[in-house]
Order: sequence, then C-alpha cells, then structure tokens
Amino acid sequence: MNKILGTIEEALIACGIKDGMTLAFHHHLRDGDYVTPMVLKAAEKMGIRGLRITTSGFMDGMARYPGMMDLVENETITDMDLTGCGSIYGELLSRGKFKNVAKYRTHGGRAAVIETGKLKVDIIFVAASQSDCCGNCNGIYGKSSFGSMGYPMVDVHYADKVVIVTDCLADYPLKRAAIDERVVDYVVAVDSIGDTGGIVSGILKPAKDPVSFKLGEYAAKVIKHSGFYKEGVSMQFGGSGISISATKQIHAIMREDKIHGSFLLGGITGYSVDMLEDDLFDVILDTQSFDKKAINHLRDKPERHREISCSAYASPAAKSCAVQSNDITILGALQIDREFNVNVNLRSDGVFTGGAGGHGDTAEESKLTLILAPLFRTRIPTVVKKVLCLSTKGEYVDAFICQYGVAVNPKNIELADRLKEAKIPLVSIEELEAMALKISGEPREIHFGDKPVCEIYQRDGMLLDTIYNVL
Amino acid sequence: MQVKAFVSGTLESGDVIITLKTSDHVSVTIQSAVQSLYGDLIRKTVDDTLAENKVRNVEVFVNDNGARDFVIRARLLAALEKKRRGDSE
Amino acid sequence: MSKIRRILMFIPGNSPAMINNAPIIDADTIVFDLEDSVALEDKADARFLVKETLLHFEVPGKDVAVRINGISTDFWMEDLRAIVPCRPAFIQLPKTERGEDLLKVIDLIEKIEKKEGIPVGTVQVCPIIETALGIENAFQIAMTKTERLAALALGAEDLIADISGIRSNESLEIMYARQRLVNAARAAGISPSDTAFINVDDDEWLVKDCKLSRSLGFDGRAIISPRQVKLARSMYLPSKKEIDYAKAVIDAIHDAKRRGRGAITLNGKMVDEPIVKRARAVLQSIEESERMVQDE
Repeated sequence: MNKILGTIEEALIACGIKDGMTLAFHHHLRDGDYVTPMVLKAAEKMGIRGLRITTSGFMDGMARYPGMMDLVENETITDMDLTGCGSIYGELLSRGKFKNVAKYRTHGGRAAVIETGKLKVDIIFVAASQSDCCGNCNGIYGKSSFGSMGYPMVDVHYADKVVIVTDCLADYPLKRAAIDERVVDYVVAVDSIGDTGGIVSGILKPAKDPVSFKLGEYAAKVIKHSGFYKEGVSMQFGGSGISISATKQIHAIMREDKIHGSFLLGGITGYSVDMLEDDLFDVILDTQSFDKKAINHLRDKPERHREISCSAYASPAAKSCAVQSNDITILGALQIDREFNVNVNLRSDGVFTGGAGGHGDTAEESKLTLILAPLFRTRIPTVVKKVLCLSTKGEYVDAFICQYGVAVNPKNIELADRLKEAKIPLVSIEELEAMALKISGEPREIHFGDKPVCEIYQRDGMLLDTIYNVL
Repeated sequence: MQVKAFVSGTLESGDVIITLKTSDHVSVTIQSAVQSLYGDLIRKTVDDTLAENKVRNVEVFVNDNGARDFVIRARLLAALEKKRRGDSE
Repeated sequence: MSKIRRILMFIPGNSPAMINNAPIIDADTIVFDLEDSVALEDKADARFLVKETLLHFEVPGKDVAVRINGISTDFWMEDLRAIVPCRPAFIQLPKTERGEDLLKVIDLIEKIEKKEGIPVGTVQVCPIIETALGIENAFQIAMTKTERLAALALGAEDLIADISGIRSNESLEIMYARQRLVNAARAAGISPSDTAFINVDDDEWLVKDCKLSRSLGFDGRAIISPRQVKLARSMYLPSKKEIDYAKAVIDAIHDAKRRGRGAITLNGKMVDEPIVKRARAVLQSIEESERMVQDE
C-alpha cells in the first residue's frame, strides 16, 4: 500500500479542494514552518479562494514566507479559527483586513469544536518530521524533528481528508507513530518541511535579567507555601524565559525540600526534563516540545514522557482531560485587570499577538492558577483598569505575581493567609495598577472602530469578547 | 555648512537618543517604540524641559525605546549642555 | 559607629535599564556608578542621568550612593556639583591614596552643602582604597574627618595591578590589604567594606570568598551582578549562633545589673567591652535587616 503523491498540488487535487473549504494545520514547527505557507500558496495558485484556516498558531515565521500577505488581500484566506497568532497576521486581523470575522479559541476549546462537529475540517495538512508510505508518522525522528504532535492528533480523526507532509520518508512500518495510517489519505514528501533554526532554538534558557529572576523566585516561594506543595503534586509551566526561570527555581526548592511530584504537563522544555530526570516527577505529559532536549527526551524515554493530544490535554468534550487532574499552573499575561481578568490576545496598541493557547483551559481546571509577568514591558503596564480583551476570566486566577510582589485574588482568602504567614510581600492589584500608572504616565486611549474582527471564545464555547478593528 | 548635532543617550531598552541641532525655532520630532500610547506624554516632557530652560532655538529629534520621563529629561538636559558648550567654543 | 552595610549593589550610571531594576534588588545600598562602568565619552550623559535618577526615581527601603570619578580626573568636581545637592546617603571616592585627597573632596562637599542650604555633614563619604599607597595610608585616611565617613572600602582589581600581584580565587594576593583595611577601619570606628567578587558566574567561589571576607571582619561587600545578591547576603548576615550568643551577652548584662555586680560573666567567662559592643551591633543590624525584609 502506497499513499505517496508527488507534490502538494497533487494532494490538494486528490482531496478535492474547492473554494470555501476549511483547511487545518498545526504550529509545532513554530517560526520555521514551510508546510502551511507551501499549501496555501499552492491553493492560491490553483485559484482557490475563500478558505477558512484553522490552526493552533499562525506564527510570524510563516507570515514572513514570500507572498503570505497577498493571501489575505486576494481572499484566498477569508476566515481564521485560531488558538494563536503572531503580530504580522495579527496586525492584518486587527485592522480588519480579513473578509470575515475570525474566531479565537483555547487548545481545549478548539479540540472540542472539532470533536463535536461544530467546526468541520475538510482537509488537514500535517507536517511530520518522519513518515512511512502509509502515513504512520511522528515528530521525533528526522532532520526537522519537533517533538510532540499534540495538536494534529485531534484533527486527524475528524477531518475528511488527511495529508501527511514530510521531509523524511522511512521504511514501512515506523516503529513510533504519533498518528497512524488508519486515518491518513495521502503522504507527500518535500525537500524540507521547515527551517530548523525557526523550529527549535537549541536549548531554551531561563531569562537572566533581575526581573525574570525575581519573578521565578516569587513563583517558587508562592508554590512552596500554597498548600499544594507535597508528595504527588503536579505542575504546568510555559516555555517563556520567565517560565523557565520559575521552573529552574522550583526545581531547586523541590530538590532541597525533597518533594516528589507526580506529573508535569503542557509545553515541555529541557528544564522540565531535568526535573523528571532528577526524580522529582514521575511522568511528563507533552502537548508541545519547546526545545531539543525535550524533543530528544520524548524520543528516548517514552516510558516516562508521553505525547498527548490537545483533546486529552484539555478538551471539555472529552470524558476527562489532563488539566482536570493538574494542581499548579504558571501562566503569563499581556494584561491583567482589577478583577484579575487576563488578556493574552491583544497588545496594548490593539494589535493581535500571542494567543490563548492552553491558557483558559488550564486556568479554569488547575487547582492553583498563578499569573507570572513583569509589571511593565517597555514602559507599557501589565496591570490595567480593564483588559483590552477578555481571554481568561478572573475567577479562575488565584494570584498575580510581578517583581514588586504578589497580588492574591480576594476570593482566595486561604492563599492570602498562607502567603502572609510566609512573609511573602503581598500587594493589592489596585496598588500595582497605581504604581504602574505613576511610573509610566497616563497612556492615550486606544480607539476601536465598529467593524468586528474577531470573536474570543471560552473553552466551553461561550463568547467571551468581541474585538473590533483598531483605528 | 554642516549643522552640528549634539547627541545624548543610547538605544538600549528603557533609554532614548536625543539629537539636537541649532535652528531658528523649536521643533520636536518623535519616534518611539510606544508611540501610540505615550507619544503625547513624551512630547510634553520635551516641551516642559525646553521651556524650563528657556530654550527657543533647537530642532529636537527623539528616538525613544520606552524611556521613563526622568530618563528623557536627563538625556535632553545632557544634550542641551553639550550644545551650550559646543556653541560657546 | 557607622551603619552596617552588607550589600552595596553597583549599577552603571549610564544604563536606564539597570537603573530601573534597582528597587527589586535585595541590597541595603544602591551605588550608582559614574566611574569605571561608564565610558569616557559618556561621563556627561551618566552624570545627568544619575542626577535625574536621584531626584525623581524612588528606591524604597534602600540607601542610595554615588561613586564619582577620582580626583586625578577632570570629572570629580562637576560630579560633586551635580550630585551633592540631590543628597545621596554618601559619595564613594575611588582610588583614595591620602587623607589630604579625601579632605579636598570633603571640603568641596561642605561648600556645596552650605550653598544649597543642606545641613553640613548630610552627605557622607566612603573612600575606596585601590592602590599600594592607599593601603599604607589606610589608617590616616580612616581618621580624616571620621564623622563624615560612611565606610572604608577596598577595590582589589586596581590594587592587584598596582602591586603586580596575580588574581586568584583563593585571594591570598589581597590578604594583607584586606586585613590592613579592616584593622584601620575598626581602629577608627568605621565599617570595612570588601571588594567585589568579579567572577559573576562562579557561585561556589563567591560563597567561599564571602565566608573568608566575613571571617576577616568585613561587614559586607560591593556586588556587581544582581545574581550574586542572594548568596552574598546570607553570608554576611549574622548566623543563628552569633545572634543567640549576642542575646546571651545582653541577658548577662541585665543579669549582672540586677544583682548589682560590676563584672559581667557568661558561661563562667568574663565578658568585656569589645564583646558587649559587638553584641549590640549584631542585634541592631538584625533589627535593621528585618525592617528591610518587611519593606520589600
């Protein structure tokens, strides 16, 4: 059996590509993705228009591929259904350049709409760093390896047509398969699925500046005194420099206090791997592998490091999902307001960037949700009166940690008491807002027009916010 | 004849480069990483500092990378002092 | 007895990014630097920036000082004229070699204080000794207007060059200089402050060097990287043993008073004046340090 086709164009034709179809991709290749641009440019060349694109992230690296901006202008792409977006396409979105209103979801929320059929995928193009001729594939072997295939692992079971795109064909059958042949229609081999420099940046390092270090220090202190810091604790960190600073410092205290946890969840870095190898955790559940160390560990130690689909990670439509069993999560924020509502979608100037990812999923379900961010980013305050975009509701947030102290959500009296007793510097969110305002000055108000450009959905499908075009 | 420029500051995050040139009136051009949010406030800081020092004959170029008020003031005052010395030579 | 300063965090005076971080560093003193961390062509820029920083930038719970340029440079007088009116806690004077040099600087500070209507003596001075001659004159320097002196500091890097020594982790090459400086400072009744540890990525040796430094009698040291602060601080704070002993000494004093006894004894041994003084200083510095922790 051989499902190999010669070119992406052939695959599009074989899949019956038509105007108005929904195409799905994933962003495990991050800024080094060639597959998404190749497919879209091929569709454009064929004269296909009005496509809806659903992806776990539309990164700047992809957007910089030659001719990507034209796709919006000539309406090859008219609809977007995303969980993340870089600021290049984000700017187009903010200025209302897409024909139709886009939708922003969380990873779990996206899995749910696909699983329940609310979002129907016509064709999914899955970049895989290794595949055989029948479509058994993985992201852990090959020159363009990227680790876990958590995002497409959901879509492939529901899409009408599944095409694997790889730059490393191996003999049938593959020993390790994140996605197996039973759901695959076609396989296309290309020279390169992506730029390795953009896919993965060696080993991610902790940010070394004093602010990030302080944030990590406070995060470790808060976790230590949170009441969850005991045998069997589970945790989720992110992949940013600040998150890694926190991971590193938490590693140090767990080792010193001889605390043995159960699992690490979510986006995985080499520092998460270190904690596992130091016997501080038993298993890693990986939805996205951020660096080489994480990728290689997934490849070499599958008995303790498992890739999971974002449905198993966080889908509210699944019978159960990992975030429901998670204790502590550390997340970031572009903005946080007096009600602890968090914005991870919109920059202060009204342009889309970053994205929900698993933010809302894990914030809601985890027992302790900590938001870790500096009080400013280049003069722009993180703590504001009201967030420009509601990405995650404040009721799910337990505390905000910045370099000047910890603001505990007034709803969580127990946490406040514990932290006070531990002599951790507590501040109110209003004090932080005032401090930020005093230092930065009163910013000019951003004005929005009356053209809705994007709807923000909570993981259960509820409409959280509608964003209008920025003027 | 080349008009002499007097410069203060660096491009690092949180800093600003102020370039002054002699002119027959005051003009201020601002380029900032946080233009849409703080462009007005930056302008005010520059205007206030010039007024305080009774300066009426400079072209001011501001290349801002998120500098706080006191940094903008410091860089502008330093550039003004350099200009004062340069002019008197 | 001058205030005990444990962590003197050096921040380059021409770097707004680093200046912005001052409030979150766990140091008791921030030193904005106009000297070696500022390039020659940036001296004027740095002077204006540090001045505006002192006037407008709040660093709650910490003392703020400025290291000016040395008296052999063209900059020191302008530095003082710009900075003294802003009332920093003290001025650090690098490469102090003689009491007369120190006197020159203190005289100008006094002139400026008078001109600005600042109570004379408000702005203290901390001489930094960085040359062989300076080490020889350590006591003379320490006895120059002692009431104005915030501390006596050591600058090892230039000193080692001056004596043609070779820098090492073990620091034997500066052993004499360290001991001489501590001795001179203590004899004059002021606090000795040690040199920075320049291997910013070597935590293991930082701890060893701080341990040595403390045992020689230094109250604290200069710090050039925020990453060193946590470890260094823990090394200079009194240990539990020291604190318990100090408390026991004070108890013994009260005990002796109560019984109308002249001599103070503890565990069968006589407790004399230097021990009492030290015990009081230890407990006072704990109080201050605890207050600082609460301010953070």
